[in-house]
Amino acid sequence: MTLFEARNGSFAKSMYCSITLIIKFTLNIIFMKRTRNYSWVICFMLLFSLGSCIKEEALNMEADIVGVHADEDVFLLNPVISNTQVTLYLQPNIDDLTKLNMTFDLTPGASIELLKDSLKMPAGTQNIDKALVEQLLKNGVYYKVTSEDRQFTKNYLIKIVKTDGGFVPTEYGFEDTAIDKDNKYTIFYNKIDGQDFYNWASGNPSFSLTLSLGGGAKEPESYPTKTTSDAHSGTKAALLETKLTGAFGAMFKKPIAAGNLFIGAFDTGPVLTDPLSATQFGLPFNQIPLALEGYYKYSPGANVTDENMKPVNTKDSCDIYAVFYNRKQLMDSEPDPKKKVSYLTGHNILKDPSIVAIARLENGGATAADGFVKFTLPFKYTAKVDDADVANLDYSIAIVMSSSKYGDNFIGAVGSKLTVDDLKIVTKK
Amino acid sequence: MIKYTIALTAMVLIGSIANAQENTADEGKLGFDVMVGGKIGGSAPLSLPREIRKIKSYNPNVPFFVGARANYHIDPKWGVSLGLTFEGKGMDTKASVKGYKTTFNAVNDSKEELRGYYTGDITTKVHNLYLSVPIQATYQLSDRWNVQAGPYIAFAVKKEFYGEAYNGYLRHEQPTGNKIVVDNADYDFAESVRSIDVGMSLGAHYAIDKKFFALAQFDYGFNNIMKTGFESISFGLHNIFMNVGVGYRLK
Repeated sequence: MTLFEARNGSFAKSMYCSITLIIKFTLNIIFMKRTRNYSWVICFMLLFSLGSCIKEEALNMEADIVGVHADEDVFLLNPVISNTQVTLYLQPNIDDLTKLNMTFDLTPGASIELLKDSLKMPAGTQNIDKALVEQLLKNGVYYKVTSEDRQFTKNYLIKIVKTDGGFVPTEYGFEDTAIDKDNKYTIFYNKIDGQDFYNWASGNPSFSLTLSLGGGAKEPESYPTKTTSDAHSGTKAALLETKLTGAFGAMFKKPIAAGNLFIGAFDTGPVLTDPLSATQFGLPFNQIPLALEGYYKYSPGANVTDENMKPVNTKDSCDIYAVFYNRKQLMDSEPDPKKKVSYLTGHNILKDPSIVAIARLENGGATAADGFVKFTLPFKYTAKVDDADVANLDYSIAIVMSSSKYGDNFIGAVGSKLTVDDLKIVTKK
Repeated sequence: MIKYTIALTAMVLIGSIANAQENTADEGKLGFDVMVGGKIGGSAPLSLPREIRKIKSYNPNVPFFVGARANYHIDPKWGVSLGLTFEGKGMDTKASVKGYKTTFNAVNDSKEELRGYYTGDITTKVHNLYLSVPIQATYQLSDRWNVQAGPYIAFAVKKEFYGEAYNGYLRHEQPTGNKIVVDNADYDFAESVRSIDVGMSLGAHYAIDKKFFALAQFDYGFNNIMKTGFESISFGLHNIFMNVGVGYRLK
């Protein structure tokens, strides 16, 4: 039996109102014939009548950028928006950015302003708009979003990426890293000709939940994806390590987190409900890839366990692969505009019909001794590719690396370590 | 402090009734009732906090009481009573909340928790059983009407407080933190329910005939039913119940 059931939102009173009514009714009966002043009874009644129903809604506390628009159709992809960063990909051949005139969709009631300090005016320049566009293209500019209740603010790094000539670099030394301001994890990016490219993502943002839950200090080394000075060249390499998720894992049946690094973006939204869709793989690429090359070393952890932390009688292995897919076909295949996305996820990264070629490390077992091992993984094409369409940025590429091959299903060995350096996409000239 | 005072009062009162029982001259002044009935109410905040945007459904749970009471008539109008009641104070609710500061605990491990601001739907299931000792002043209004008021002390003999967050999202740690979709996330706060609930009752009896009477009683718990230091619900929850039932005069 349900005493009160909501109907079409018209049920705006709480059970309090009803209780108050019952009390009033009862007391009215009891004291109908009495005229004596039972002031304490009245006090009691007042206490429960006052403010006992649904209050006026509080002002919003969130301060999100949820969308970015320009006056004209200049973006190649939907803006890639994380909790603190927005990356905008321009269509090729957009040169005149004066007509850009960005507008932002925010949490209702929130406001946004340019953080003037983050804009470095070149000497002798007075034109803010020009300086802004230049810096948006180069290193990005910070904007501050303030919540409707004015109590919370969040800074976003906004970056515009020109796609002429391609923008996913073909060589990666993993030398350029940044540390996330709040959660202190490592972010890999690429500095090319003074421009910053934030193409790499990892599961680190969700591992910060584990650390919040008593899994350790929030410092770069605590995370599954980080840097190491044990490099093949330069001073740094990417180090991916499978970690225990502790209390977090116990709560949500996700006992381990493999270190991963991939081209694309990571959305913390579905990490509890649908972790495979948290990884958004792939960014536009305008060359035809022939092989993925690089140097790696891998030492698997001792004991492989499954999603229930039960031992599995197998050896852990790493995974390194690249997927080249027809993004236009992927997007056209989804009739629902709300579900139309430009990326692959953990659900379809190796099996979507839009995939035209895959390059994958066949044996991800332990590497011998302590040295780096070179790999050359040819792209195996399963569909024809139109050179002109590739040049026109209809295709995307995803590179995915993981310290536990089945880490996406929470199968792997804690302590498995994959080090990767000097990655290169060999392309058709 | 209040609970000790009440415990002391109870002891004095029990003593005096026991004395009265021995004194045959006072025999006519002593009465005994048994009562049974249902109740409606909830473990709820005094005034609904702004975070609660909608109560989607509400059901009483374990809504019963069964009790006995000794009455001592001081004079034809006034009296005192001491009772013992076994009762359920529970409810099942579904509500929509916005920006509700909370934590999701690993079950049975209150130290490790996912903190943040939750927006979405929650179910709350409270099924607590109490053994209550009410001490009341009684007043005979008329031939048929008798009203009572007084404090009670209730001891929780079974505690259940759990629920689920669904169809919502959590902002991790801060309203500006990472957004995490939450569906089917369970919580269990049973261990944080206080063992003692102290409150005030206000009731009335209507004599149907010489033996039977109808009763209505309103109980209000003064203290938060959750232990001090419990932070997963940012507002105090009080046991607020209306009892309706019948009684039988043994003597």
